[in-house]
Parts: sequence; C-alpha cells; structure tokens
Amino acid sequence: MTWTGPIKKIGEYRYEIDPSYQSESMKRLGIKMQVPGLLYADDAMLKSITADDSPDQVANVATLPGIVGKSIAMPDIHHGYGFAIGGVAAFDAQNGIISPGGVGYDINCGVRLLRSSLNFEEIKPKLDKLVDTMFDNIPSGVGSEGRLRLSRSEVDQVLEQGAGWAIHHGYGWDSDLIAMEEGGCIDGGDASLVSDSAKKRGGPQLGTLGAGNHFLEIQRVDAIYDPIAAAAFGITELDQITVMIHTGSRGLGHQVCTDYLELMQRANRKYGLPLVDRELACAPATSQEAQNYFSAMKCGANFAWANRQMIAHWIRESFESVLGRPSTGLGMSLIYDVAHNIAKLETHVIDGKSRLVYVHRKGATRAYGPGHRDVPEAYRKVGQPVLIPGDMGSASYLLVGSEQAMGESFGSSCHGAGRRLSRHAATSAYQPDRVIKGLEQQGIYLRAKSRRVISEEAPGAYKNIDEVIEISHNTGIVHKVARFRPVGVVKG
Amino acid sequence: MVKHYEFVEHTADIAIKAFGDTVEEAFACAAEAMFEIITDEAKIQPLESLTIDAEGIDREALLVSFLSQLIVIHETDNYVLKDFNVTFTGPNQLRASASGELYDPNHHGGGTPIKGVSYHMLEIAEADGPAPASVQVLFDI
Repeated sequence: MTWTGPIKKIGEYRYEIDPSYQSESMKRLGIKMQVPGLLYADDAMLKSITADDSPDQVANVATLPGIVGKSIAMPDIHHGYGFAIGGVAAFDAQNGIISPGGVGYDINCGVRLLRSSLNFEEIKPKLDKLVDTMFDNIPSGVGSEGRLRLSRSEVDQVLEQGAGWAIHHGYGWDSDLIAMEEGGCIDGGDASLVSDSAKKRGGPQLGTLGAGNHFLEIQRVDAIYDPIAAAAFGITELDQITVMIHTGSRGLGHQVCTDYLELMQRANRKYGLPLVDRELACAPATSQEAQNYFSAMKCGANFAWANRQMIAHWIRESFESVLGRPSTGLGMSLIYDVAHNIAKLETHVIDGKSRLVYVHRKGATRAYGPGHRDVPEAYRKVGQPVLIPGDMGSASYLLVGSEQAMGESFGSSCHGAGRRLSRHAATSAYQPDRVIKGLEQQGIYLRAKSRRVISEEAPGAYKNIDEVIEISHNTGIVHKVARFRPVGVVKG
Repeated sequence: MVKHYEFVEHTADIAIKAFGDTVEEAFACAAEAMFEIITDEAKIQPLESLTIDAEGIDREALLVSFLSQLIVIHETDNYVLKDFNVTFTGPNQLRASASGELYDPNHHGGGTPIKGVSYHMLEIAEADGPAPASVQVLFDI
C-alpha cells in the first residue's frame, strides 16, 4: 500500500504530515489528528518510507487522545501493527493514553554492548573457539530453555528486580548496573499483574537468546568518528574487540502484550475511545487498565534486562575459558544497554513547559543528551550511548544522544534497519551454505541453530543500515561515535 | 469440504488465509496453518487429544484469543497440535478439540516461533454463494 497523502518538507531531513490530513477511516469515525506527524528522512529514504503505509500509521497515532508534540517517525520507520516500527509518541500523563501496541510484543527488545581491552589480532587464532563456546554456553533457537530452573517466586523476583536480580545471584558485576538504561530495572513492576501463562511461558526462557533477528556478535571497531565520546565509552582504538547482545523479554514479554491487548480491547469499549485501527487499543493513562499494563510492561522490561545480564555473564565466562584469563583482566565491562521497545514515564520540556508524559518507543532508542541526570555520571558530559545493530554481514553503530533530541524527539532516535525481503523471499534467495561461505569470505564466522534462520537473516534480506545512520546523524538528534564490524556471530 | 489455507506474502511477518465451508472450519484451518509455521504439520502424531475453550468481545477477538491460547499451550505444555475441530458455543465463544503430541526439537524442530497473533489484516468472512468462509490473520514472529 503506497502512501499518497500530503507530506511537506519542513527543514533539512525533516518532513511533516499536516494535522489537517484526514484518512478515509478517520473521516468515517469523525476523528482528526491532534498533532502533526514528523518524519526524519532524506528524499531517497522518503520514497522508500512512502512505499508502504507507515506514514498512515504515523497519522493514525496522531489521533490518539492526549498526544503531545508530534507523532514521530525515525528514518528506519516501517510498517508495523497499529503503531509503525521506528515510531515515537508521547502522551500526557493525565489526559493521555497508554497502549500496549505502542510497545509491541517483544517488550524491551534491546541491545547491550560490552567492550574489552583485547584487539582483533590477539583473538584471531581463537575466534572460532570463542564463538563455539558462546554458542554452547548460551541457549538459542526455537523452544530453547534456559540453564536455570526458577521457582514461581524466583520468577516474580526477576520481574520486579531486573538485572539487579541476576547480579545479586552471581551473574555479573555490580558496576554493570550503572551502565544500563534505568539501571536495568524500572521501579514499580508488580509481578502479580503478570499472568500465570506469561510466567509459565517466559520463566524457563530466562537466559536464552531466542531466534529470528536476535544475535550475539564478537565485533571489532572499524571506525571512530568522535574520539572524545568514544574514549568516554571506553572505545580507544581501531580493531578493539567488543561484544554485542541483541535480544528481549522472550515469551514472557510476548504473553504480557497478548494478555493486555485483549484487556485493552475491552477497555477501549468501556471508555468509548474511537480507534482507526484495533492495534491502537489503549486506555486512559490514569485508568486501572492502563496502569496495570504499565506495571506488567515494567515486569517484561525487567525480565529482558535480567536476560541480557545473564547472557553477558556467560559471554564473559566463555572468553575466560577460551583465553584463560579472568574477564576483569580482559576489560569486559559494559558500555551500555538500551531498550528498543518500551513505554516510559518521562519529563520533557514541551513548548517551554515541563510535562510528565508516557513516551512510547516502538523500534526506537532513548537518546538523552549531555547533562541529563539519567545518563550515567561517567558519560554525562558527552551524552547517553545509543546502540544500533546491523545485520550479520554489515556493521553496528555506537552513537550518542543530543540536546536536539531532547527538544525535538523526546530524547529518542532510530533503532536499526528493517527487513527488505520477507522471510519466505529470503529463504528462496539465499541458500544457507552460500550465506556461510559469503560471510567466511568477509572474515565472519557464524554459528546458528537453524539453517532456515541463516537464510532468513542473510545480509541481503535487510535494508542498508549505513543510510539510516547517516540520516539520523545528519538530523542532529544523534551523533556517530564508532562503527563495529562483526567477526563472530551466534544466531538462533 | 474446502478446508485449506495459504500463506499471504508479508515482509516482516507471516500472514495466512484459511478457508472452510463454515467460519468454524476456517478457524480450525487457521489453527492448523499456525502449527505448520511452528513445525511441519505432517510430522505431528495424533497421540493425545485436547480441548480448548476461548472467548472474546467479538468474532475477531475470539479468533485472536483462540490462536493466542494455542501459542501458550505450545510454549508452556510443549504440545504441537493438528486435526482441529471448532464449534461456536455462543456468539463469541468456542470450544475446540485437537490432537497431537509433545514437541521434540529433534523431530519437530526447524520451524518458526510465533510471538503473538495480531489484529492487523484480520478478516473473517462467512461463506457467500460459491465463495467459502475464510479468515485472514497475521502472526508476529
């Protein structure tokens, strides 16, 4: 479905959907956009964005009650369900709404980056062994279960304590907590608001990678754009080794979303909110339904932080066993950990006034600028690290948030490149052995549980990440700090 | 009997369209398509029988609730299921039976896990003359 509605250029890398726009479905329901839509793109990117109906979804989100500022689309925006992926929307804490669709199924799907004092030459002879050991130590793939058997009350503790629970139980270093969005736990998660099904579905999956686009990567630094910010984040030279983790809240988050989408269908009817799309189902922010979801979502987010924490611990153990040195001596501390799918209660200055809003980031990354008190002290002068993963044959990026983002995008930026081909098309186009060979020729060693995933996740199945990063950088909402190339990859 | 299903092309996820002589049959067929995504349906042995009850605020919500429950059964009790039979027991209620066995990654592996059942693209159509009843549903994977 191609977007044919009005979009006008309002500045460099900025396009706007005027709030006077009313789609057929809006007309039918007699509802209007409350605020404009803002798309970050260049002319070429805009063409690909308007090739699907994601601008329509940006406009639809702008109709929701209590939306403030603009309904925002990052350069990597693509068609989602209700809310587009790559979208940011903030709703007034009193008069706005909260919507599970604005977060998505994989609550706190996110990225974590570990640095090291190793360089590529040092690990090159042992690279295969490192990847094999990570592959063996960290359960991945369909139906994989974690190495832990948690009681129900332990699952509840994970949901309410997040990464802190994992560290308290020996999975990681105390200092890890400082280098995470929200310190790896959002306060106020009430495990009693998470269904038994969710706990039963997700509990055994704590400490697992999953499948699909989730991955573990050993990477080497191949470009440093901002040496000062890079040094603040512990990136000091080319070929320095880093490890990236991309996964989320597994079945637990998926089920929280499923449960509350159903509840919101009922709530929507109760509160009489007209919706252009059922996936936008929501409830008034102050209602019991919305607050219960918000609390359960926090539990899902906390579960994801604990999940990435345990995986990070087993990565350190893998390096220790293969290299025969303690990970503290390998300098494997955490650069940062960010969520890509989340709703947060945050304070932002809107039209000169400080307001409390529920910021929904669906396929978007918090990107706080320098000086913000929620940025770890060690980074506060430069701003919050922003982590953007690429596909297994391209590059991933470390960026930093800016003042511009604080004033314009609720301190948010992009999150990655979307798919170019469907899984089915990728499976037909890319034979697994050829993908493995192609990566090998680039010096990338891959281990995957499923041959199908190798085809589905082939580099050619994804859009170009560099373009997304260039536009994001050029908007000024984030700045490039460093780029990483994968050398070893673990997939589900 | 026109019970069958087909996959609908979608870039990010997987959508299916399922058909039947009645909407009940189309619901059953959508459930079978779902397990074809999760595993290879032909590999499922009908060793045990299960009953599933579902309800929703309307027909669409009923379908989402039914299929969502099957994901929970698959991921928590570890079943893979086939041979669905669906009976509407109220305006927006159903009872379904199915048979299957416990999931064995060595035998049933290689499929795609499903995160959730979306309302996006969701369509339910009664049989109309020569056109069979159908449901279209998109799975977030």
